[in-house]
Amino acid sequence: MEEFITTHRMNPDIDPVLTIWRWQVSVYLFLGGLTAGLLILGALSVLQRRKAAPTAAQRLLVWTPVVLGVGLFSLFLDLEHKIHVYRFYTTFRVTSPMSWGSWILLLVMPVSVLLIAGTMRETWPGLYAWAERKGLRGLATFSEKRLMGLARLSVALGVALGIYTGILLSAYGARPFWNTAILGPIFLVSGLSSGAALVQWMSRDEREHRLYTRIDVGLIAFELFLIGLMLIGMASGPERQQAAAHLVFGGELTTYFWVFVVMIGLLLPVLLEVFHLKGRPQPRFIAPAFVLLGGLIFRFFIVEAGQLTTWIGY
Amino acid sequence: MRTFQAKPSTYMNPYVAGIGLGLVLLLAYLISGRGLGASGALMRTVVQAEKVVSQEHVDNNFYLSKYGGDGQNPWHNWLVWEALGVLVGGLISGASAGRLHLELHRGPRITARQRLLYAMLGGALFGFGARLARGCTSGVALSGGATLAAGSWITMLCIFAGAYGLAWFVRKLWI
Repeated sequence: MEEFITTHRMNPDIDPVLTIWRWQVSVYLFLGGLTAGLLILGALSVLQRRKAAPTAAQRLLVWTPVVLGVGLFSLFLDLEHKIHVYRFYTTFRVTSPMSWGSWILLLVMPVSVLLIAGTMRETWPGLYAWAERKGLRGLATFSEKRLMGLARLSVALGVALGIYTGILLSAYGARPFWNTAILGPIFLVSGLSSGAALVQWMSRDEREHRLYTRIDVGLIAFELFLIGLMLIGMASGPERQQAAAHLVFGGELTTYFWVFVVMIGLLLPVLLEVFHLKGRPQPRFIAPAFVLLGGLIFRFFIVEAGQLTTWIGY
Repeated sequence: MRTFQAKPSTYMNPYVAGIGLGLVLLLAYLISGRGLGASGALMRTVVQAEKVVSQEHVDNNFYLSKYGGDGQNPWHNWLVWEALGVLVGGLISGASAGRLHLELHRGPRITARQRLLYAMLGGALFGFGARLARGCTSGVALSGGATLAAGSWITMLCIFAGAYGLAWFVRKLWI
């Protein structure tokens, strides 16, 4: 009797395709990008030194630590060895995107809290009164005095956070669909677009609402342009990267990419926003809801696409 | 939610829209080799939902197993994608004309809840009938009618006759 003994390629988590990163990572990447977008737009609004009523962009700053917290919890759920998290903070490796990310995340949390403390007297008077009762007035005064510096630091940290979520994947050389430097800027623009959509949704001021709608139209157009460049780069690259690009040009994820990522996630919301800017009335939540949904769909797509591609031809 | 009456001028001329729909049907045959449909997409969504709950139940049911038997994806079908396109297209059309609102059309004598209940009841009856007739106004009447299939024309006449026959009994829902 003939007997076969398999001695290699027995890890179904990595062979023939990677199946390790699931929804937790996609959700984290989306919420991380949204945090970056909210932080940058809120801080830029502070830097404009508007004397008028507090803007939605500034009011929404209060959600940045919350959104990031939920995102980090999602990432935490993905970790196999959860108690090893502290080890990220026992070292710093310049060549490791995860190391950079860990430290950026550690800085974003307190800086965003200080930025909220510095703006809450006008944006959230109730929160300010609560902080006063709890003896935290000193924190607010400290932050108010350094508000411009905190806002500049927040913009820098927001950009770092947005780009890092992309670099986290693009530095992964073993997966051709991720291995492109343009992924960092794409994730940053996508995060800014999600942030602008949320500001647009929550804004009570018509001028601000229209401003952020216009900003979002520009950001989505730029995102489409960058995604186009990414695919061109991939399709004109070495053989295995061409095979990775085939994933959306006739391959397994073609429908998912063109229907959900491009049409429903990017073109549909931008069309709705353009109609709105042209004076066609529509419920305020519709276009931003599609932008946010599109951002989430895009993260799911990228995480899945990268895991399906490999440099080894089977 | 509010009762909203859009200005008639914001709607497309019905004759132009009818010709447009005919051209869409022609294009659907030309591009995908299939006509238009609606109830089929909903039926496949129901099968998909049942698969999530119990694949065994779907496998053991003669009708359901044809669409979602083991290994089959009920959503892997032209009708599902076409119906998704209809939803998105409708959204774009409404937005372009400034008619995008949450609204509920109802007669003056009934409440919003009654309107929704009767809509559900009517939809369920029509869905059941559509499955018996192997299609609805889109799949059988429109697509089948365009190919001059006798069964499709009979179905279409029955749908209209049924609607006219029932309208008298439920007239107080609208007047």
